[in-house]
Amino acid sequence: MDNIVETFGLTKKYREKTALDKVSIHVPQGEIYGLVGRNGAGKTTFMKIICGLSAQTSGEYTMFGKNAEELGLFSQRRGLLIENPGFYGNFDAKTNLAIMCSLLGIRDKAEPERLVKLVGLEAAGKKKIKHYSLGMKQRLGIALALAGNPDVVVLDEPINGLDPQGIVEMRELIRRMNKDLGTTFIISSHILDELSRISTRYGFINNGQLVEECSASELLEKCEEKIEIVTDNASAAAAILEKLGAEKMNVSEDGRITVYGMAERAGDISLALAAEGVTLLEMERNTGSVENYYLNLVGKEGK
Amino acid sequence: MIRVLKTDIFRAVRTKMFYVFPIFMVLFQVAEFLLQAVKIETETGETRPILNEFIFSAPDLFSRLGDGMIMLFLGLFLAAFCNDESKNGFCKNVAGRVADRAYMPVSKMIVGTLALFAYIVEAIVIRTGFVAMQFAFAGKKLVWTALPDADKKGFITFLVLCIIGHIAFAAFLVLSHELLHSRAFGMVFAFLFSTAMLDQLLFMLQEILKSQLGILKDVELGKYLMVTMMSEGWKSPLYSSGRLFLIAMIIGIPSAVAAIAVARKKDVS
Repeated sequence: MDNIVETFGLTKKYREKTALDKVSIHVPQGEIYGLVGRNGAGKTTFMKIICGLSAQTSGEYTMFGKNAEELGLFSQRRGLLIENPGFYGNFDAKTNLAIMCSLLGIRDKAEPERLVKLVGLEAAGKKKIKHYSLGMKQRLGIALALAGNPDVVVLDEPINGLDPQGIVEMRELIRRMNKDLGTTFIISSHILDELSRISTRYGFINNGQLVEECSASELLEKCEEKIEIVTDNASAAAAILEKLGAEKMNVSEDGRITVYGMAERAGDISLALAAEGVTLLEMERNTGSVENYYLNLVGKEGK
Repeated sequence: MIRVLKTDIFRAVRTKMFYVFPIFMVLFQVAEFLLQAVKIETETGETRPILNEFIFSAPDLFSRLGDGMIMLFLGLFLAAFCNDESKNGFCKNVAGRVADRAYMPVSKMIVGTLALFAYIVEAIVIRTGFVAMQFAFAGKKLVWTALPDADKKGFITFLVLCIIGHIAFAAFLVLSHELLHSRAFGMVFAFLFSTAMLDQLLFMLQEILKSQLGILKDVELGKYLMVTMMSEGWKSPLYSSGRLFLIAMIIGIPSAVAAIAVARKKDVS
């Protein structure tokens, strides 16, 4: 599958501080790409650069196969919501959306109305945006990003301020657009649980560096509850594990055994191995959540 | 580009500051009307209005262009209009989805130019309306003073140069917005520049330099200051069409080019 967004050693420096350090990310077309990282990791800086709001210090990016200089009118095919949603507080939602539609050359007068309904703001009527709640403003920001059915939508912390119902609605909206229209989403969040519900691909970013990039299935496999064991006798150890009731197990060529679904029985395993005279050289327990995986990946301190 | 411009025009006509100038003009004319309606008692004991006749002419209709009033309100409007977009963050929506970020300052300069023409027309219409009212309701005699043929060319040249000067001023304000994103700076600068206070500061500086360092003694500074030249008028010895054009160009072209370069390079926040 072609990468609709690709970066090559993207670096951004603010004087002495390096906000992004040689980040190379690959976003295949039609994916929902979850950008994971704690606050200040560089997610927003990355998104600003690929949205043309900020210039990189070095490296480059391509979107739709074109670099920043060649992008031109293709820019209209990307929607964005970076940091706080931008809107005119003295106008209502439809007027704000009409301004956006005018900018994109959308002549269909019904488009603002469609977008208002899409994000569930129809009840707000002619209420001025400055009187909106945080969640309503966020919904409008998403509607502005979705104006013109862009091929790539970049959403920075899109569920900020949304109530639980709003979160579910946005998740469904993103899924629906991704499935029906093939829209590619790049979504950042520090709420891993939420991201893990919709993302089909992940990029883990820490201290401005891309730590890992993987698909959702790869991540699932990595996050599966498991124990990795290294012993002085792999075949004997595998037999012992079978006796203990292990149903899924891999033995690699170097003798490392991965046992799935028995993370809670690490103590039983070590006792059983010792009782049969098998020396346990190494044991690593993975308790299974994306959150734990992320913390293991970047270190508890995020260093 | 056209779409960005259409969007900006849509916004401009919904910016409150756009309507401050016509409101001010109406109030200004009402004040003038009331002032001229005041009656005085003559030596013979009868009362009569201060002025029985109202003399107006083409330069009178365009007087707001030269005296800095249009420039002041144009500056206030542009400072508000440009900074609204940055303040509320909508500029991110625009910058992220336009083919070239240079369209943003160019569009604002065009909006400034269109606002300038709108203000000129409004000033003429409001002035003419009040003149007509004085004729109809205050019983004044209207005296239209036509320009001598020999002066027509000079006057039209002066008008065109004033318009060019205003556009240069708009370009500078757009540049200041691109650099600073400060509504306050734009408004303060518009006030100081259009009311010739900046020119006064320069005159003071020249006096200091003359007395302290003995330099610039023979330089007639007013000849090189755009607002002073415009306010002094087209018959003033300070005015020169070539110099006014050159100064407008010196302000306008680098400002426009720099605004485009800054818009392309500077991060949008």
